[in-house]
Amino acid sequence: MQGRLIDYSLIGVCFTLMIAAISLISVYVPTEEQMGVVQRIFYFHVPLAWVAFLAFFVVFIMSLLYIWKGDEKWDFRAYASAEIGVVFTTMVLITGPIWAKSAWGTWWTWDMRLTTTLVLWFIYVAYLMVRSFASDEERGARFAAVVGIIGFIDVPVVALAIVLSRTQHPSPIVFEGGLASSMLLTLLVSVAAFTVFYVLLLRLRASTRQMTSEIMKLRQELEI
Amino acid sequence: MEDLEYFLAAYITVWIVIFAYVLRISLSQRNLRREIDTLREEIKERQRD
Repeated sequence: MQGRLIDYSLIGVCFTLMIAAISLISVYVPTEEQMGVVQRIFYFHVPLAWVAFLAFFVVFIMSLLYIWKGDEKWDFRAYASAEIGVVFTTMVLITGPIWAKSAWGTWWTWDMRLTTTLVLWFIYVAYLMVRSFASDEERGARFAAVVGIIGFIDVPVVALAIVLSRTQHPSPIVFEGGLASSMLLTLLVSVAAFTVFYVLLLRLRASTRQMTSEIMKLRQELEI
Repeated sequence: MEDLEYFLAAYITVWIVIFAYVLRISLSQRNLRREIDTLREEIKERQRD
């Protein structure tokens, strides 16, 4: 009952923030002078990337807890977060090239930021594949937890790629203070909307995993 | 005008992916809930027998 109340509250907050973000992106925020309308992709490309990083950080923490405590609830959350992270990274890898085609004239360039992001996507797709192909559920969960912990090394590499190497990717303008207040507000609302959406998805996806586990236990009970 | 097309392409793609993913989760939750109820019923029936 309490869980349902939390879910409905999250849906309400998420819906309100999404409507606010869409309105700000479509109507409120001024069009950037040099790039034009296509710059507005930034207001969901950045939040999507932020949620992907957050999701993989959660995989890292939950995997550590699973290996330490051995409780399957940590594994459910790690798996759910990895799947959401892959979905969000996929959207980052779609929206980025669409912006790049307009801004750079090419869909893709093998610079450090883009390449490490693609590697990150492959790492967590591998994580999901390990889970799907493992014949023994517990062994698969442990092996995936190791992939989740080691794979997280790529997240700071992706984040620092624009500082560590010469890249075509735009510099972190938000941290340099080069963003107009209206643009910053739009970005922050969008980040908040996608973060709440992530929490909601994590709860839903983890509970799905829990239900699958319950079904397996009930089937075993029937077989005895 | 071309810029607007790129923006709309990215925007629509994001929402299609989001809706597809949420739909997949909700459908699988509905199916799993049904399966849990069926299995519980079967267990109850066995216990009665």
